[in-house]
Amino acid sequence: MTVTGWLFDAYATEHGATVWLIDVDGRRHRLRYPFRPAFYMNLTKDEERFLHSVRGRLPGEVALRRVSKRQLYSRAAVEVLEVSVQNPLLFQRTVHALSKHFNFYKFYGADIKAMQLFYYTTRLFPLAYGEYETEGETLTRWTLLDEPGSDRYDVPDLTVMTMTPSMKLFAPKYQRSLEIEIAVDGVTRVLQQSDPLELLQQVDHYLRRYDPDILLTEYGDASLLPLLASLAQQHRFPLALNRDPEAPYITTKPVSYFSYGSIKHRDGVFELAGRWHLDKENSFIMGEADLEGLYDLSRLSQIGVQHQARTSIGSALSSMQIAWAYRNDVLVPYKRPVKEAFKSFATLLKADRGGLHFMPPKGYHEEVAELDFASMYPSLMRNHNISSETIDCVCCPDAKHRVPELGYRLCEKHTGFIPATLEPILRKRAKYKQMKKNAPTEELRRKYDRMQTGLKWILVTCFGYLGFKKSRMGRIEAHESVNAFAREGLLRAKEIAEAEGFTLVHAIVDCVWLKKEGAVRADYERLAERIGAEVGVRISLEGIYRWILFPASKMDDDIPTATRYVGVYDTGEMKVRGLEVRRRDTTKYVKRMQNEMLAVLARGRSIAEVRALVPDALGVVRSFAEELRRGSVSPFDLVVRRHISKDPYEYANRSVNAVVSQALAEAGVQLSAGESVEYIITDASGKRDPQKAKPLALYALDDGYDAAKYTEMLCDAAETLLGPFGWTKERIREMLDPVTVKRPAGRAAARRAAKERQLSLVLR
Amino acid sequence: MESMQPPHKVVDRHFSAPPGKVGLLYGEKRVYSLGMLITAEMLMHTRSVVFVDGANRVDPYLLARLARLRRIDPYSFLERAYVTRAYTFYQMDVSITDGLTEFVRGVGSRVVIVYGPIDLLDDDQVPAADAAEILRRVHGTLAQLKGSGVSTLLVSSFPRFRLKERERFFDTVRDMSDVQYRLERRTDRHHIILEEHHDGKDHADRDHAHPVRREQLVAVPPGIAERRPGRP
Repeated sequence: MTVTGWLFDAYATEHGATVWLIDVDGRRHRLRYPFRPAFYMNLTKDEERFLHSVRGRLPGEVALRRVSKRQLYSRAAVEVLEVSVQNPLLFQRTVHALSKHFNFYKFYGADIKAMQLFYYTTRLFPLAYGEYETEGETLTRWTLLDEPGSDRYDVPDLTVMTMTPSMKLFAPKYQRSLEIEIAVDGVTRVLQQSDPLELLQQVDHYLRRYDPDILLTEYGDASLLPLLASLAQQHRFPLALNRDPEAPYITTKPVSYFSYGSIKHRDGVFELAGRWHLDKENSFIMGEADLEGLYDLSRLSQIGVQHQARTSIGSALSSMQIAWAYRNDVLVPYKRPVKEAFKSFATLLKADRGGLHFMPPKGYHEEVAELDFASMYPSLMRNHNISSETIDCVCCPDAKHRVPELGYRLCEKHTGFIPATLEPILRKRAKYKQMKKNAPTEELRRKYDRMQTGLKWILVTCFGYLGFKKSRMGRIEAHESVNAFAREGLLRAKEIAEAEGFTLVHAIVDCVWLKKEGAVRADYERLAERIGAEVGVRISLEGIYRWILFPASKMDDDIPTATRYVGVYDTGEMKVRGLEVRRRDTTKYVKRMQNEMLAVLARGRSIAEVRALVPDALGVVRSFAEELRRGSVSPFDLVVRRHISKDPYEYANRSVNAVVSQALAEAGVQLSAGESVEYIITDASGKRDPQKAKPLALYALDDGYDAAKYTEMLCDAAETLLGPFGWTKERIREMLDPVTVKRPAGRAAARRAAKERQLSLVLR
Repeated sequence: MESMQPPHKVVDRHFSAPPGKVGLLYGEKRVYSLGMLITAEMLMHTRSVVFVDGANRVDPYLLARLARLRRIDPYSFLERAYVTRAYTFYQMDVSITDGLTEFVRGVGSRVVIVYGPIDLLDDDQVPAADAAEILRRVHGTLAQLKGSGVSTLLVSSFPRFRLKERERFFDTVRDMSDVQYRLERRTDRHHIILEEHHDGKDHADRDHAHPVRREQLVAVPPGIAERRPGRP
């Protein structure tokens, strides 16, 4: 029989893989596919004999055969032993058992999930449209009428049921009793919770009646599904969360982990078999690109939709690279990454640098234009064939193509796996942007925007991933090379602009801010064309600002900051980066005030006009401060959100994070390092109230708030905008309360003193 | 025994002759700055120094500054110090066991300095069995270097393991070394303590080597600035 339709879901079972198809008539088909995941080992004859001798003691049956593969970096052919595991569920246990006998560097491709191997070796991908041949309940072969890189494809009509906590104010972990709301087929129902069995029956009823393809939840991973599954187990109730009644749930535990110097928290995972569980609260990509972006990314990365929703963008990129390796018979390194080549300290000084910044003069500027390179780093990687294996490759000892400043050779014979992986993404994203531009309806425009956003994140990640320590196919020299080309590109852009009479006001890595008396849009567009042609990366005019502010650093008011600015384009549109109003750790109240101040200042068409509006902006600050003092601000607008770096009782101090997380722990809320806490500051000094702050979940209206502390926050945010006109936060505070406010030294002054102390330390 | 001799000179003198030994310099975090001072001292009398940096603390700016303090062209130091960086223990393994010996021979160096051999062990993504295997292989390479008259100085901050079961690996690293120097802060000064010194024989003979135990205190001037790499 031939099923024409889409690959919907696939997961490992002891006999291979279970594959779900949805045909063009909307029928669902559950099929088996006899799949044996394999890894590779590079063994001597003696070691191979030993492997044969321990074969019977492995967790499951394995098949062995010699195959020829290629090494990633040298491209050399190598004969290795393929170890196929008969039961995919025992794949990792088999690797683990063998790693007790063989050193880790003997293995290749041994830490890839069995289901990923299914996708890589079959070349299938989620939502692949094709003709699938079946014999009974077995999938035998297929002809795909689709490819992962396609930019025009259909997806089947998928039925969606949403399941959310009906109380949205707090995450379920803060709620003593949980009320679940289900929405399906246009109707929303709150389920009765009084009896657990009754709750299970109701959920089960809707699942069986509507049999949704997607169970779309909020907090489904952390709370809802674990709770329902646990209740079902307690009451021995056959809850139909899975569409496949024979398959187990795929679950993982929550973890706290270190990343770039800070503790992060990741919720556990609760994936289903035969239907997708997608948790909006546990998916970065859904937040950025919604379902369309998720589907697109999943097709490209060949990671199942449920898993792609929860995994990092880096994993998607890594998956695309591994898929390339499998398509090209290249061995995937296991644990053992490529080492950095030895370099002199003199070379290190040149190489170990990031993108170029030219700091702006702090304060307000007018008639400044911004030009941005489009996808600069990935474009450079593609244009210059920068990849882990193309730097100083063995095949091109006399390569002319070299990395500027560093002199690394670049392969001239083979396209590297990184450019090969990036090419379809760059092409697809450009196409989606074009489709967005030409979209006939707003709905389509939004759809293509979401799809290009999903791809944007891969392009954002791809460069960092080259130097990421755990990237199995990354290489630091490739990372350095991209930076070197980017620096050269930016410098060239500056030179061209200056030669044409423009002044560089500011530049960060792939953007330049320029100024020229009397220059109009057409002048900047001509300049962009010339820079693009010479650098080899497209650069476009983002806009011309009526005025733009580069505020002083909060750490040192003598210097500007590179990535914090606000400006108003000549179209009246505003662009804000890095200011309080954009920061996640700013309270809603402060954001509202800064927004209102910006709305006032945006009326100014020049610096002189902005200056004239300062009294109005100060009026905004005054009204917000007065409202605070009156005690009439909604506490919800004063909620501070922070991540805790330790488990609650690991804190040795009485910081606000410590007292808040401990108060929550005492109330029965389990928090781990890396999770966020929300609280309202009641007495920052701790003199009146040693508790300092109340967790939002335990807050009562008569707890009040620390008006002085929140006024400080307002002054800080106001100073960002008005500092260049002499309105420091001390002066603003004085204006608000001239009688009681003392002038403290301020953080910047304290920093200056510390810097002076540091300078007095000399190396003897 | 109190000495006002600069500590890096003491370590350099003590460690550099005779060649062909493995030393461990560990202690509070300034140990990496001290490592750069020792490097500068070594570069005054050796051809080159090769680093394997697992702590991300190699600091070319400091080395250049130390050259200037000695009225030497910074590039003369920077061109004779080499580095490969490792960010995981697996990278440390590859950096040491795959090609280090050949590179050292190629640049004619007699000294290898390994930063952070212990720091990278505190990683739950490196199973203890792999860690033990890597240490065994690293030990093999260091013994090979030692045999060819190249000395290796392992430099590490005080081991503070999050994974408590990894603490035993510190002893493994100690056991690799013929001599151990500990940098310690006592009152307002830093001291270098020579903890244990073997008579230079290979580790295979260690049980019969009758290690000589002695403590030598060297006061470190308070001016060893604690600096992060990358700051001029």
